[in-house]
Amino acid sequence: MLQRECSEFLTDVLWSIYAERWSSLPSDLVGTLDKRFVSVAQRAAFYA
Amino acid sequence: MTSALDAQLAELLKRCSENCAGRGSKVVSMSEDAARLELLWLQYLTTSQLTGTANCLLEGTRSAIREGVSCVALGLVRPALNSLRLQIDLVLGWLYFKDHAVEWGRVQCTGDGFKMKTELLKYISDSYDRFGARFGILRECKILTACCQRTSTVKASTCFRKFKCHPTSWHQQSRKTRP
Repeated sequence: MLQRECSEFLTDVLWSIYAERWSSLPSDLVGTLDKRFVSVAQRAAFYA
Repeated sequence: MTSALDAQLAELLKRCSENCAGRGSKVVSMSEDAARLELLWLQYLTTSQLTGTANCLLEGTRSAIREGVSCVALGLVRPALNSLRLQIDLVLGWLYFKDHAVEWGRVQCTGDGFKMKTELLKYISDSYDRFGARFGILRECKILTACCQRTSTVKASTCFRKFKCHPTSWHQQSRKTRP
């Protein structure tokens, strides 16, 4: 569904900008992002 | 002439009503769920990241979501696609103009200085530390997930491209402009 693609694209842009502020972001956003990582190393690289 | 126009309008109304009555609520629920993460981000940005400049672009993004959902419920596909495109334009625009009050003022006063997506994405990439690396990781996640699930015949990278700088299927310069 294209709305989901659109939402995911914007979410990815915003995450890539505001990743350092993860502790103040809604837990639902953080939880959803964490489920997308396929490895611990990938998650660590993202938040590094 | 008028009777022909009336007949066409009556047909349009009938088709829209049928779409709404037949699958409207299902489509609206699905669309609302699809926009859930975007709405959460908009809520966060409007409560803690506003600068006082170009705030209306985020409110406009919410409106574009509502508009897109409404159009889909009515069966109006092309306006719905334009609403999706608008969501991207508005959020990327906000990321630039929120910190550029002078440029924002110029756009409001003269209409000049509007930024294209390529410019905005370059600005974001140049201005936010580690943007490119993080964005690349998320794209990699998307591709790997799509490969694992094998639920779509469309490659993840192809889906993603629709929302990058030149979404060929939407910019009205392809055969897909035919309804």
